[in-house]
Amino acid sequence: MLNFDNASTTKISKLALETYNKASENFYNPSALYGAALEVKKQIEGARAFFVRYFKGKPNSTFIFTGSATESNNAVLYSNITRKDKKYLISAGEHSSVYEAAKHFKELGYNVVFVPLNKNGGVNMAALERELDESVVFVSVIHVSNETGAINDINAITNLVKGYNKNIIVHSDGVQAVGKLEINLKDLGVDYYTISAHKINGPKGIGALYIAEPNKFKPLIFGGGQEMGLRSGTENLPAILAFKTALEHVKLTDFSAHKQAILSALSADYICVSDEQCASNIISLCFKGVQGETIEHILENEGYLIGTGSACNSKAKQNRVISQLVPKDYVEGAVRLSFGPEISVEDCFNLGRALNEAVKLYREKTKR
Amino acid sequence: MNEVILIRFNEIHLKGGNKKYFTKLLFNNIKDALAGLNFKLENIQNRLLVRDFQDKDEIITRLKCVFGVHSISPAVELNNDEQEIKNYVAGLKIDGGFKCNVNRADKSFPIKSNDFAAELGEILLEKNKNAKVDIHNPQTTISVDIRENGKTYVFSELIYAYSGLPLGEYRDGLLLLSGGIDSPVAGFCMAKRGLRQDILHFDSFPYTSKLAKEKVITLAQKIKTFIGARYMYVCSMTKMQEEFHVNCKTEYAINLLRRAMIRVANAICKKFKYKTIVTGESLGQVASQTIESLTSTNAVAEFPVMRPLISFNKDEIIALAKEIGTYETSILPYEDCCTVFLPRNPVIKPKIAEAQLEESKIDYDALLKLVIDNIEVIDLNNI
Repeated sequence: MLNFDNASTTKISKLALETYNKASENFYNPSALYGAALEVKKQIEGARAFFVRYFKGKPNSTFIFTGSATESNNAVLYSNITRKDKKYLISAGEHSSVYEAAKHFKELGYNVVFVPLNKNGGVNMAALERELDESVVFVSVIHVSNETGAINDINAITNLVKGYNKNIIVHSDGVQAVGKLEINLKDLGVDYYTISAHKINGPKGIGALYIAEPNKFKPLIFGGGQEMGLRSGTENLPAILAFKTALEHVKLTDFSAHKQAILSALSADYICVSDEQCASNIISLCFKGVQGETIEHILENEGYLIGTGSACNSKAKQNRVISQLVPKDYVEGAVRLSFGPEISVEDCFNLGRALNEAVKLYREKTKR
Repeated sequence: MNEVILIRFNEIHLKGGNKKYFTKLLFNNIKDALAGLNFKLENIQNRLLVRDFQDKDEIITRLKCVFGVHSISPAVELNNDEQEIKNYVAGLKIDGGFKCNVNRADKSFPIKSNDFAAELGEILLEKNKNAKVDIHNPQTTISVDIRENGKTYVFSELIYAYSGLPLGEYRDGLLLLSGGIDSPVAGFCMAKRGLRQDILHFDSFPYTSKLAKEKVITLAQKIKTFIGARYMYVCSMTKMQEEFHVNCKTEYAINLLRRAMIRVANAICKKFKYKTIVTGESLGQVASQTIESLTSTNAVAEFPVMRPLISFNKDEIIALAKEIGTYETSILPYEDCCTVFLPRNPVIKPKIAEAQLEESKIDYDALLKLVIDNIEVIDLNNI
């Protein structure tokens, strides 16, 4: 099986797994006072410092470790959406862990506004600018779209937003950006930044959140006061250290040739949502009059794992992001291909051909 | 004094010469239902009795799912001895309105039912300051069942089960199970009449997902206990649907598909010795369930087709699905029969002759053979 669904998750690397297993032996609770526990605490603090250095965080900023990027995103919204007389701007292309949480606050009566997207799934800057007014206190824009790979210019967004009012808090979900872009948090100018381990060959069950000004953060989870009181719960040492190992071995790879190889094999009527402004590891394709899910099943039988935009029936929700970007008869035919280090350009040619055949077959079988 | 669970049945009493057979069947079904727990099951005249158990709640939960059981009461077992019964009743703590019921099946017991009930009532009044007799709307009913086996059972709880008839020894029914709300309920309803069933599911991979099939397996697991199922057959209708779609009138697609499903069911019934086909159809619910559509599908059936939901409203079916615990699975968003092949305007009053004409346009027998030769059999006891 060739995995073209790396944006969904990745296999844990040997090195990360080794770190994980080794650290699992060291089971002591870092909150305890004996020596072994202190050693655990030191390792965690070492990892934390590494994350701040690696992502070039601002002085006095920190990372807290969480159970997932979903938790990180929820925590940011919970900490910042607090007043009904204020306005909160959320891009319509956010990952569901931001979008659904924001929708929840909107249902509770908070003034949450979803900012529309460009054709490639990135946020529309003009629309964002139009929404800015004195009541805006919080903006959340995903760094790289998990659906299309669209890169939002976070630096331009913080300049725009903080230029308008320097007190506006900016969050960016960087889960799909790590390993695809150079990330310098100081330059990006964000207040919060979310990352995850399992997208970069690290373990599942561990995420992190960059917090520029820890004293302004209101925790989502209370308890024993771990993570400087910002996220309680006994620290997951093996996962934290394996996350660090995964990060140390991340290589930025340009997958443009892969993308081209796939496109060159396609003849059928389709829209490629992922344009040149998108990260090269994701390509989102929408085939007219086709069920993406059926294509996924056909390709699975041929040894390719791909992602889909929507499920094969009317009852399932349509893909929220894709349905904003392409005409109706293309939405159900959305497929998402995402590359990883084990995928060669030749694999992409072959997949492209198989994909083209599957679409043709589907149209042949179902045409009238 | 023993703690026991009394099990009553009703319809079996009407079975005359066959009463013994049905009681034995129920006895065995209860033993199966309680498998893995510690218990002893006894047949005392007109009642079954569970004793020597540990997990009372679990036993009651399982007994409630056994068809043929009318009601269940946790009780204490005493001897048919006036003083012993009085002593026990004197120790009961009750509050508010109550009444006493005495049933004297053992006619050698010296006091008549009503008289004994009155005596016991007086004892209870004497011992419980806040108790008062209320025969019309009692908070507590103390029942005393004096049986022919020399034992008396005292209880205050009456838990109703589904009644009906015990599941038969053989799996005679073949339930057509989709991923929807209706078909599991249909299986439940027929099982209530004692029909033990296995399951047939139709699949349209790759147009439907593997998750859709997993969902149906989950549904099968959920109704397995009720309907006594052991096997689930999965048949792929993909090729057939593709051929219908390309060669036949679009508006007949569903009717043709359903006729094909019945034909596959016929073949399975013959091969594996089932005697009847069960479906979840409800008259007029959708285009394929009009009188004319049912006539067209029925025309190809070689076995009786049971449609227990034929007169049910959708909300009635949903209520029952919720009660038997299948609803939450049924509404998961994976469909069993892919929507890509479904016509926008399916024929509401199909004609058999026209359906036959459409079927003659394709190599029907070969396609049907392909389906039947590729049946997947899933052992539900071994997943």
